[in-house]
Amino acid sequence: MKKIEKEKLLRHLEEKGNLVRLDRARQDPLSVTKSSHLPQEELLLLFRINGDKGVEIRVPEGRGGKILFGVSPCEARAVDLLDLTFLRDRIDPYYKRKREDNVLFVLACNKPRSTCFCTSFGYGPFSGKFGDVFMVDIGDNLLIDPVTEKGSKALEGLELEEATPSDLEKMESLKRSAEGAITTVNIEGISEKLKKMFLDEIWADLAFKCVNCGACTYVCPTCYCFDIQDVERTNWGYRERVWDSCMFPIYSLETSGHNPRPTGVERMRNRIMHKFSYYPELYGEYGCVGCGRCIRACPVNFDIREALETLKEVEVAA
Amino acid sequence: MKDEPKILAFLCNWCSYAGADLAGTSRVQYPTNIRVIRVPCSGRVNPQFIVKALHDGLDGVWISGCHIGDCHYQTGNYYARRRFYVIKNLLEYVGVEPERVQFSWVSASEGKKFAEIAGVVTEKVKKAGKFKRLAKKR
Amino acid sequence: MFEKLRETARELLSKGEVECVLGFAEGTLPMIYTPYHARKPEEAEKLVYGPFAAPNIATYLRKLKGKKAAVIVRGCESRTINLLISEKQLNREDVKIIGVPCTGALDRKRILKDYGGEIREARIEGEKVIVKGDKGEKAYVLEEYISPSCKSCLYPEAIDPDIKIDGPSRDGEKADFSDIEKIEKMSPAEKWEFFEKELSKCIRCYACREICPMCYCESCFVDSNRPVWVEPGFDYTDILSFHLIKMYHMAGRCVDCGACERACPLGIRLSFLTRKLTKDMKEAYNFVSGLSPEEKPALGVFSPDDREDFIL
Repeated sequence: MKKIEKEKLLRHLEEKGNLVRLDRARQDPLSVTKSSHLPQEELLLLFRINGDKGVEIRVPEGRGGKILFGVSPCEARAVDLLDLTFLRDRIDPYYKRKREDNVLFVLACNKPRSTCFCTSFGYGPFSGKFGDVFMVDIGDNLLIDPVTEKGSKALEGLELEEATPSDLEKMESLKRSAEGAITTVNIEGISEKLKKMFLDEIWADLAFKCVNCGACTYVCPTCYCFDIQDVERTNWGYRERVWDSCMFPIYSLETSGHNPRPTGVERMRNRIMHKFSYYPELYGEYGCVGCGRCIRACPVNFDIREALETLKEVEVAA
Repeated sequence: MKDEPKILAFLCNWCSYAGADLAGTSRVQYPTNIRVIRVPCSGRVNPQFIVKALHDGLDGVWISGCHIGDCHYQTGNYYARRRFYVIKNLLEYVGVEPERVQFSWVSASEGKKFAEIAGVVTEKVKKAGKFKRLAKKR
Repeated sequence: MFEKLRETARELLSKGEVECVLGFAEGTLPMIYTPYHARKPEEAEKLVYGPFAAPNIATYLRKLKGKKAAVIVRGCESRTINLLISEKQLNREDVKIIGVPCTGALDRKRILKDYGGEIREARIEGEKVIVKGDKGEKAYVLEEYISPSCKSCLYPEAIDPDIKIDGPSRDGEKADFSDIEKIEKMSPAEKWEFFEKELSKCIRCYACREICPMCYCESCFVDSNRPVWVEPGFDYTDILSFHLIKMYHMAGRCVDCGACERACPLGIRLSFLTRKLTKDMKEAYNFVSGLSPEEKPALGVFSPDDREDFIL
């Protein structure tokens, strides 16, 4: 690992482009990292009827070009999970452009929050494999380590010092205390178990307190559901992509009027199933990163950790 | 013409719309800023229409119905009066100029009054100017 | 402190008078009580009430339709029940109303902000909230951190409860709308700027709608796409349209419990709007919502001499 003065690095990045500081305030409740790749509202195309010339269509470029400084490891991991949806089987050009342009400077989490449970998912507050550059704030300096080629490129032209053994020791001690502050939820085997629980009665109990607002899904860094809508004016209009949430009744409402998820119970089940059963089945990864945002944003204190504990305890027939 | 404000008018079928008709047949001039939508009753006007109109780029909204006591459906305008009070207050409260949303009672025999009020509404909306704030831009 | 309530609930459940007792239980985070319905006599031990209860519990009655339930309510929640009865959403016979004293609901987000660190524990001691966390122990005066809606509450105690739990309640005489009047005096441009700053934080998660006991419509105007009343975007014009129409729908039906404001994950001060409604309805029609189950909604009735100074 190398090291550098924080101010020096920031000056360098400011010259490079559109620097977005995420290190100063806690990024709560919304994940700026998610919305930098998947904006709440994204213009897909504009159309205009231009006299006898017919319909003119303009597709905006929608580039990213942000240097996101101070992304937490959980948010960076979440972007990797978004990639599975937007870049694996089918490529979404709007997402891809932003993903290619944005540079993620990940900052290890020295002070995890009481709602953090990232260690439940096989990584932790000091995992250095996400994003483009990994950094650790050791007080006077930043320890820094490029993760990707894009990251190395962003650091070009900077003089980096070699980290001393005492710096690394400092990092280790910060890491130990951060990891120690996080409560791990044991989710071993949950995805297999959930497969057998689709019709279990526990869902009604779990969903009782949930009012089915979209707060949890909108603050979630891995929730990516969207809706595409055309907005029409007299002789012009546009097509846009906006966030949508599986918590809403019209999310699954079909044109016929039938709704396969008619009540909050099914919707709640879907949210948990998607993250802890369907995602592992499709991609071999959990769809949750354990950032705790949904727990903090929930107006009725639906705690996903508590829900997982409850689900673990339910007895299911083999 | 581009700077002229556009005003959407919801006129009740039985009184104000007939009033507008009378103004026309009597050849009384009124400003061309007014675009009319005929509704069965002022009570048919959901305040949602007003918000939607302003959001879609209109500069003012004018709603006119039968005089109190004259409603074709007996009580439609009584209910409307309460609704309009609430929505007008709310709109003003969030910063929409009070001139933009106007209400009046005009009967079928008041062609002249219709033209007069159309003038007053247009003057008021003109004073407030073009309304771009609530109109979505792209 | 909750003994009396728990005893009452236990008795109702063991005698089979009700199928469940709806109220709050301790939550998993500090300063949060979570909605809870006790279904067995022993579960009554979990019931609590007090400033940490943020939602309006009457919202949950729609989940208990067809069941005989007892519900633990504060003043605003009992007024909501009256409204639900008058709008034919609830039968009075189906609910047993247990009134509890209310000292106002805590504006939790303001304490989180002022504390500035991670709070790990909190408790109420007399008139103070004591919090503990990585910035040490701090005490906050409850009255200073109460929801704005609660500050102007005129009816802190439940109206016509079947069972009443006694205790110290707020004083309902001190309704204060001075901050609303301050906004009313601003120029249109200032008002616009003020609300744009406040409301543009909205992410349209609809927590305010879903937590509202009076937003019980099966399909909401925002979800309509033929016609599109409110466009789907996150532009301020879209956001404002949503809030304006939602607020209009609440006129005369809002008890100003402040649950929507406390539910908002972005901390938007929705009470600037709900309290304006409360003030307007009182001033124009001398109407206070939810005082009796027989009362008709303010916009569902009229008087021949209603004010019309705003009509040309």
